Amino acid sequence: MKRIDALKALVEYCAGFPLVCNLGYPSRELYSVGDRDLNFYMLGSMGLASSIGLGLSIALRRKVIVADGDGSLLMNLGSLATIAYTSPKNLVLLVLDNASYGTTGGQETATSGATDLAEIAKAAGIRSTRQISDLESLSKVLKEALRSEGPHVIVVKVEKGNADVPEIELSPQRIKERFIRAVSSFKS
Amino acid sequence: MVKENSETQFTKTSRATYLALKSSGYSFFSFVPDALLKDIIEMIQADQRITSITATREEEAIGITTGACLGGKKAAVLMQNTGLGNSIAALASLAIPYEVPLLLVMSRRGGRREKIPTQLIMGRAIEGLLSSIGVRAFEPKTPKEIRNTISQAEKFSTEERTPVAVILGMDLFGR
Repeated sequence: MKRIDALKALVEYCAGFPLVCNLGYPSRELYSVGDRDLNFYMLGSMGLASSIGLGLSIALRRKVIVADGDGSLLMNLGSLATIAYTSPKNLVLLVLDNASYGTTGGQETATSGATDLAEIAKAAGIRSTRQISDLESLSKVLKEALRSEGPHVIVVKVEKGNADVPEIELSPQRIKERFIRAVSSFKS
Repeated sequence: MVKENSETQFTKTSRATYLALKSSGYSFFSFVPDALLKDIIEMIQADQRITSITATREEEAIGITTGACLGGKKAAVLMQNTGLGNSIAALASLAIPYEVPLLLVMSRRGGRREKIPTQLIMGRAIEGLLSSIGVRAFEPKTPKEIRNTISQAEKFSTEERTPVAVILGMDLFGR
């Protein structure tokens, strides 16, 4: 499965839910397949998608979806322990794992070897962890995750490579302001 | 006798900081523990009306509090000043450009009585680092000033929509 197809499925199944997206091509691909106010595009701070999602999930009553990457999560593995310890029921952390640093030239990450992020999440103390690699399972697992108590960590194995998509034409302030407005009715 | 005085000062500063943070409206905290901030952290954790999350690293705490701010909370990070080194990228590429009004409460190690040499360099660098990324620092000099300083920092942060730092020196804690 291509990452952009996984993101398309996310937009389809997570309509109405806030989505925090990792920086670089993942955010650009998401912007091109389904821009909406409920998308929080990261334009920097690599590694912090899961942390932003954690803080947001505590502040909201709504399920919060995070689209993280393997390189990014490897930068902030401590976040998995914090999520396990805090255990927000409404957090769904997807890791779009292409086993590479896709935005910076496709250099391999450790998940191209023996490193297994779903097992790391499990060992960090997160009970609901899955690894999937096809679109059919993604839709099934997402639907389940949205109606059951989390936190859920779902590692989605995707192909290497980026779609040919433009830059995001929104300023950080604009991304934030429209996102805050869109989630304001979900405050806990 | 000296110990008793310094304990009183430690408690006074910790309590004044906790109360000032509460009266300025902060209800969500993430922190990496620190010995100078330990009583403040205890008071925050014991407060049922406050949410607090222990982070594994300071930049993680900035990510968590940014998320909380997006969801409508008034949020602050507690850290030792050494943790500023771990925070620069998150401040420069998340909190500042997205205009997130985080309050960073930082204890300052590395003063005249500092016994650990590895604390000295960051102790000296803190203002320079903050000003180089455009984060304004507020520093109360006595426990009496804490309430006003935190209130000013909160006002500035909210009005300018930007993170600010409140620095609490060792002297303030009687250390």
